Amino acid sequence: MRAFSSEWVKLSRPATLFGFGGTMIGFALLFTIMAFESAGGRNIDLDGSGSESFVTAAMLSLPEGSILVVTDMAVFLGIVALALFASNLAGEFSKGTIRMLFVTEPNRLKVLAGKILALTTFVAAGIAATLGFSIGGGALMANRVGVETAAWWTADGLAAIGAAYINITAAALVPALIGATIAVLTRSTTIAISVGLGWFILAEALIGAFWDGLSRWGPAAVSSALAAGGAGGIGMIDGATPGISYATAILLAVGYSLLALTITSTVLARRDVTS
Amino acid sequence: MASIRTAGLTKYFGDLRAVNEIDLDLPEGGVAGFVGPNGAGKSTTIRMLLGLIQPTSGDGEVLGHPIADPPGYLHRVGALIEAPAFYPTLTGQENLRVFAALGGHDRGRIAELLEVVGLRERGDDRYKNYSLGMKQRLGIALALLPDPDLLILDEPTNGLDPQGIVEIRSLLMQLGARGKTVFVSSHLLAEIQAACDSIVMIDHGGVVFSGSMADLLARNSPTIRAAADNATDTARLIELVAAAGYPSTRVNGAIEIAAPARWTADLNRMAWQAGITLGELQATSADLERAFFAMTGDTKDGTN
Repeated sequence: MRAFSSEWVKLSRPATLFGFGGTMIGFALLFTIMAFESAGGRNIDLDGSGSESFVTAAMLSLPEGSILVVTDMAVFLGIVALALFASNLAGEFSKGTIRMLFVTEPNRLKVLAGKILALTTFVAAGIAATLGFSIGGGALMANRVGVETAAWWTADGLAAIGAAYINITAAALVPALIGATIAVLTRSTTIAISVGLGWFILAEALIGAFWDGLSRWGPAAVSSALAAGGAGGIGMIDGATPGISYATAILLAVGYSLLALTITSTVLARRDVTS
Repeated sequence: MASIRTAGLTKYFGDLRAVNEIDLDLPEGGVAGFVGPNGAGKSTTIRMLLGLIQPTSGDGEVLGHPIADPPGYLHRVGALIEAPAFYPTLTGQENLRVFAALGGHDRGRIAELLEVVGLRERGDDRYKNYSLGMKQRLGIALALLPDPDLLILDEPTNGLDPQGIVEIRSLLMQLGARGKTVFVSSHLLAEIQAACDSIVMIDHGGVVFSGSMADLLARNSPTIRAAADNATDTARLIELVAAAGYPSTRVNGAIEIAAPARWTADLNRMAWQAGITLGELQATSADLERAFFAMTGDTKDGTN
């Protein structure tokens, strides 16, 4: 609990709040406006398929219509979470503050647990705000472009919002925890973020083109599948529909997260602090 | 009870032996210096005492608890390890709040400690805008935050101006006088000599002296340096000194005599009576710098 409170002294700085929170909310609002403009008839060829509209008014009118934009942004939110976790942990090594943390609280696992918990609550709060701003912005845009939103506020619609929040938050933690592991292993913010982003944005998709299993069971694919609610989940952009079931996605996400936490805690607890 | 006790503490980094069977026995209370050349193993030793580095072999105790169990004693220890490390975008006060929250320390002490280290007016400035001396002062404030029984400070006066050095020295001596144990490493040997009651000197990873400052200085006799105004008189001057029962060494045209400082006047009188005019005559009292170079085998110009 002390490590959690200590971490929040740093996270509650305006630069962190506006830097990470603002990025998530800003992009969510941008995509929400684009989605509703597209549904309202403006020609936005977002996925490069040549089709005139990547989302329709009918799709946005569904009970799940309110969460379509943020669900499709899940990969981006995961990357923001990865950057946050990786920069926080690697930064302790590059700044040298890790030695003062471990002298102040010699139980290193408590320091790690407090950090992970604080960063997780920060990401969860950021995603809640992102979802809130996207739905609020969507409701305002819906009036402007003539999209019916009554279904959003039905029991099904509210349940979809709740489920989306849980799924997207859980999905964001997969890359975040892997980012934390890379940070502890490399002790470099630049390398940790580069390697993490490289894998989640590029490498997994490229390797997955040669090995089909990776494109379904790799951490980026699992994170996407979890955010979308598994196979059969809805998405605006072509290719958003995942190749594994929701249950498989949960299982693999838990597996990746536990593996990442085990490696991080083992390395952190046992390695000499020379920085 | 010893505040710090180690037996055969050794650390290897790969094939490199950083610390070699160090035995320390520091009593409770007072200020103890920790000196040695760069790379002698001071920082590695301090990190082992603080639980940051696992020893390869040997053991030790800090405040009566084994160093294998840092949670047993670190809540009573304040430390500044090498250069101070803080979060650049936080203010000095916020940085101390981070560590106060983590250690469960009284946040009410923060303002008081900023006052003690002379940062009261700058506590709301961001750390990245601090000068090196201010960063060092904040590091000392952090070390004092737990109101520690043992303070371990690695180069605490780095970057401080002369006024700051005097203030920190005075603070450390006050803490020592109040029964706290202060273990301080520094390259400023005059500061160590002025502030410390006891001293540990290490070289090449091993202890070359451990004991009271008075004992160390007593081991290194004072010398008198004299030079004849006319170089042809030097041999006669050496004979004169030898006849008085003191050994001497020729050094760059002068001679250095292992004799007490009070004999300087006698030497001057004897030389005058012998018709030798002295162009140079000075007594050098025993000091830590001379002892350091004598015991580490180094010279002031860095040659062995």
